[in-house]
Amino acid sequence: MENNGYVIKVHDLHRSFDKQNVLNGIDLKVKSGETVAVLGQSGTGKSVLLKLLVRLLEPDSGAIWIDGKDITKLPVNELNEVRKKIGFLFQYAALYDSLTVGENVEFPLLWHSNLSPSERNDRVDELLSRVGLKDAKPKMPAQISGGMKKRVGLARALVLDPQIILLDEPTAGLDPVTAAGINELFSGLQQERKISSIVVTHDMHAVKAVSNHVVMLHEGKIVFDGTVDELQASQEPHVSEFVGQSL
Amino acid sequence: MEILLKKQNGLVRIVEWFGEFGLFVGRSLRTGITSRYQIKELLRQMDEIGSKSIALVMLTGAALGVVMSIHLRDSLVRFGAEAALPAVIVLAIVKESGPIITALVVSGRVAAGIGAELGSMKVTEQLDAFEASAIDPYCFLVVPRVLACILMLPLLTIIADFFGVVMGWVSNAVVAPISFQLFLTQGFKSVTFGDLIPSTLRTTIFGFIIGMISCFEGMRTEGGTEGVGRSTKTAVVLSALFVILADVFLVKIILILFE
Repeated sequence: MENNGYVIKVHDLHRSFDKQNVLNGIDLKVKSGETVAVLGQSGTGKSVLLKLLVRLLEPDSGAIWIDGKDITKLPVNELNEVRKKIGFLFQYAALYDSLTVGENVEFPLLWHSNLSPSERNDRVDELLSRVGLKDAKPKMPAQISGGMKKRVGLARALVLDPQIILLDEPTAGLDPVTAAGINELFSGLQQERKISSIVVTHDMHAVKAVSNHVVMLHEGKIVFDGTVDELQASQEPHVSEFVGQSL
Repeated sequence: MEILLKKQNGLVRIVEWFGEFGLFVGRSLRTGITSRYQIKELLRQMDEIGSKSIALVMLTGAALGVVMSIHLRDSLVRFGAEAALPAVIVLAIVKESGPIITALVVSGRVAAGIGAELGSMKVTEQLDAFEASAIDPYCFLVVPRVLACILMLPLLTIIADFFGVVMGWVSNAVVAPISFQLFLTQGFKSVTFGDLIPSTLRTTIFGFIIGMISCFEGMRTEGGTEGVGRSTKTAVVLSALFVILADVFLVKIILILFE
């Protein structure tokens, strides 16, 4: 099923908006069970890269293999089969306003599983307990804080037991204590479930806490690809400036 | 030259709008036919679009009845045709004023609501979250809303018609006392199937137009909260405009088919 041990492979990916090249030939590989952090300044195309990986945006050119399938060529029904294997945590969680916290987590199960209502309820309770929010189950998204929304978003991303999880700025806009809590939670889940993941972040603490492979984007290209230690030792000007400013 | 270019760009945008709207309607219809119905969401939208518009429609219908009665009495008295007042009021309300006024009032309320709700969902990435979870947003968001508009518009029209006729009688009875029973008998004496049913059922098409345009404008929102405001405004204006334009054609078609 896997492509030479890689669950995600991106080759020569290009994407532009109104003549502005946002991604300019990206190559990226993610091994099974690996967490890759994608770093870079605002506007370097990190979130665009994540959206391309589930085809929320279409690439101008290039190939994206998820679990051995080039998703750029798949019809929608086959693409949706691939999407079911991927959990996506959006930058602002993107919880459905009209549904309660519990219904938000249950929603993908309603569409994609044959579980009975009581089995779904147990699954939702299990995940909400795991993210420490069982009491928030009947609340509406507007009644909970930003950090809680991120945790509910994480529970929703995990509800279908995905092989891959994509996290867009999981700690952005959170206070250091809440951010550390999210990093700890994700790190724990990562060790428990051995999910492959890509984490887009500006937060060097998050990079150290959750990732074992780091890439850095600058002007639409990857300017660094290595481990966290190599990142900190890098003499590449854009990398050292970013790391220096972040710590 | 610059003015010419601007006009050309405006024309291109209009053609693009119709093209995108056509694709949107096509995808929505395909989803509506092939996907399973979200009954819970449909009932929620029927409540939102239908039940919560009842008070507005009752008041509008009542006001319409009073205004029609006052105006028509004045005109008919001049021609010595005062006795025809109940029939004229009923026909005017049931055939044209009731359906179109109901559609316009509901389009204001519903298009603003749907445009703003879906627009907010778009800018907060909730629509992306549907697609990322392999859930078709058309199935959960568009189909129930459009279907609720189609089902609720005729019912709301009947309510508006009823209150229009009742308040037409009240307003008339203040000046020239007449029993409600006699008013109804005289009013509906000349009303036929061809007057009542097609006129009321044509509001299903108004509902389709309101639902589709509102969902389309909401789902193509761009540019944050400012964009939500823009798409809400566009949804309201275009829904009302297309309802009026559709009415022109529908009235002609109904006249040809049922008169």
